[in-house]
Amino acid sequence: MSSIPISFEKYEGEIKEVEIGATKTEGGTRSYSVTVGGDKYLPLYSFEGINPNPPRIAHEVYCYHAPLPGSLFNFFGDLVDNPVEWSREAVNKFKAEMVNLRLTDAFSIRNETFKKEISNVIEEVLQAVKVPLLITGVMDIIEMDDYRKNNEILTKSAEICEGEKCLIGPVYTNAFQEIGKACLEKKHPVLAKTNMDVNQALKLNTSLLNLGLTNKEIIMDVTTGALGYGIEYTFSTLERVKIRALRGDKILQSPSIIFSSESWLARELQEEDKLETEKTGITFEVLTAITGIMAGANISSSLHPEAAKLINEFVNNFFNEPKQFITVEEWLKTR
Amino acid sequence: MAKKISPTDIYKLLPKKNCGECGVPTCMAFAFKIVEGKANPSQCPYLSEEAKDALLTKTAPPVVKVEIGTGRNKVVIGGEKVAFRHEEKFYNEALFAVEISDRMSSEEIIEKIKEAEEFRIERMGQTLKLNMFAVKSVSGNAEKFVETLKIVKQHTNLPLILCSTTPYSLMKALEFVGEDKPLICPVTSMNVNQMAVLAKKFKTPVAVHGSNLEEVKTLITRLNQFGVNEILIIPPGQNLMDEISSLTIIRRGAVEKKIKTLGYPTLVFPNLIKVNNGNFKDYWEVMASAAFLLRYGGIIILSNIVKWAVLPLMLLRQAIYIDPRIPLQIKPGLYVIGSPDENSPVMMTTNYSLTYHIVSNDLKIQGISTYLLVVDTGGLSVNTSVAGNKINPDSVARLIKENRIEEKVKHKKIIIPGRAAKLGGEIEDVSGWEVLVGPFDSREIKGFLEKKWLRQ
Repeated sequence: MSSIPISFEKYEGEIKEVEIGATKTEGGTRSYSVTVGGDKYLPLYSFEGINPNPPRIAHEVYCYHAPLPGSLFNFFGDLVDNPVEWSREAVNKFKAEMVNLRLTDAFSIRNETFKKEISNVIEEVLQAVKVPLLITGVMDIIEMDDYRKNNEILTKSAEICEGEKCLIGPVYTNAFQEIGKACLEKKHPVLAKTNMDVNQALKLNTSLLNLGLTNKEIIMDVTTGALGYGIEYTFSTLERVKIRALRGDKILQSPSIIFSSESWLARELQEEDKLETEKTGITFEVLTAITGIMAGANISSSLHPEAAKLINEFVNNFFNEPKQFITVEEWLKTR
Repeated sequence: MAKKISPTDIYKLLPKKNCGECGVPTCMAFAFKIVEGKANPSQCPYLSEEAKDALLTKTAPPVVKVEIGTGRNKVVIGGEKVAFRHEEKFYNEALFAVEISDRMSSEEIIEKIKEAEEFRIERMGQTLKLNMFAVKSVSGNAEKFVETLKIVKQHTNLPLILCSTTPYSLMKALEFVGEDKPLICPVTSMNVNQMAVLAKKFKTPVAVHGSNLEEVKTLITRLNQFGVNEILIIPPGQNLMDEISSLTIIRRGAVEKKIKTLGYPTLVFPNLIKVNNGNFKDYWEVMASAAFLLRYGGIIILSNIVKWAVLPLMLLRQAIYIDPRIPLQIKPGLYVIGSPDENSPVMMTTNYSLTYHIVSNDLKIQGISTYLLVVDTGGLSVNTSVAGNKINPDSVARLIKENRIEEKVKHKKIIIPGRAAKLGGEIEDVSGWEVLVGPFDSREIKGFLEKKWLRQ
């Protein structure tokens, strides 16, 4: 009888570690930095080995025009119109380890007043909270002009946040240069977004590496959909990218991210029944994050604080204090 | 990764007559079909018994397929061939079983069964539902167990899992429901011989439970010696990390290392997780269930049926078991919604099944009559296909032409999804039709038409 395997593959590659947030000694004003990546094994392959850094969670804060469903508007209340206060609340009340300041849709970037206002918000958030920041621009390109808006606002963000090592993006295969260069110059890691295609991810990473960035300055978003509309692509693309990187493809050796917040766009959550919808939504978000994390995501960008808390619990359960299971025999004794 | 059998390996064992009686013109083509799982060796009328056996062994999935229940409600689990869905696909969907205890009152049992059976969702042409009931003997009393089973049987035809540590109780239960081919568990080092006898006698599958994988393998070897082969493994582990490790080793051990004693589907108990905080307890069961779904959990036992928890789990299961080689898609072409006339709008969407179902349903709800052109994007959603350049403006133009839309309406305007806005110009150029960019969300089509269509 053959013995139990303790390892299935010897991996030649490993994911590089990316640091988000710069402290005073590093020239920034964050009170700590967060390191993600460094994976040497597939996620949760504890029998082969434990990866150095558990997945981390960023709480999303929207800079106006938050595309939230009704139940979330109720939950966040006045914060929706006040990104600075929302950031503060995320850190102080909801214990966010990182904040993802989402400059949301291209509509907000449509005129000079708004652009000025967004710049002010970024500056104020940097003052208000001292956790590492992610700054995300137009995640959903609808027309060609959106690339320009995204470039403009993110290049500006890179300047404002100089020295803070914020994760800035997304950059796209056909619009990466301006933002990439700004991040290189101002020392920010870059969020590289492609859609469910390993080759696209390779192409974009290659471009960024050619610009002079390294894998230690890139986080990949290869996801396409949350639970209910295409999470199967998200799961498999994340898995394929991670396996390929571990097997030695140097170009893909950067950590990846999942946006569990995308879950709230699911059709099933647009119903009227408020309380149930909120709880269902939290579960959608948690399951989306779990799917991402189990396929190899190193960061979850999350929206509902309760979901973020649960995702954190899930991760801690693997890396810190595992919850015990009762035995089947014990189960057979409990009603 | 698992080494795949090559068609040449199969071809060697075939008669090489190219008679075509199997339904495929040549033996080589037949060999390819077998490898793809689209043909069965027994379709060949000229195979010797010896060659047939050899072929069946060669082509048998590394994870044994187990059937539970009989007739219309029979379920199948296992039969898996890969550890990563992108390598091929996962074959038999994980099953959700709902827990029932013999300490529950008959009213409670009936209520729970009713709730479980009523939970059904129609989605992308599939019915998502709960599949089984796991009835456990907590009382330790065989009569009480049988009594409970009587109530259960009166109210459901779904397959059963009988759980008791006492073989005597299981025997009594099997005398009552044995013909329905339930799954019995747990087989442990304490009861393996008696359980093997029961499994043999009643032809029921069993689930083994050991404190580590070595013990599990020993138990399985013992069962095999009795001639019992329909087996599920309860992955050993004291916490989620352990269990996920066990599940991974079981699947990859079976698929890649060809360890026969690990080549069985699994039975998992997310409901066994110990959580003190009452508020998070429900969530924990769902989170553990999701982790199991993503890592080779076969039958998943749930303690409660609450919509906010079961719905997302169902969706996750559906997603994971979709064949990644063929996204759920519908046939591209013209779909007539309502009863359109020559003034009705023409719209376009993609052939991702979910997209089509959402859009057509929204159109129906809003009472809109239209010609809906479904363009081939290889089964991708609007968002994804736009990002991946999978909407070809030429094919949109071709669709318009092939379906003779010009003869059906007396305008030349096509409404495209808001998310495909950037393709508008190109579609106009190649088709010669005017493009109107519709809303992002198909629920807003009515409002859109009122503003942009009816006023024209």
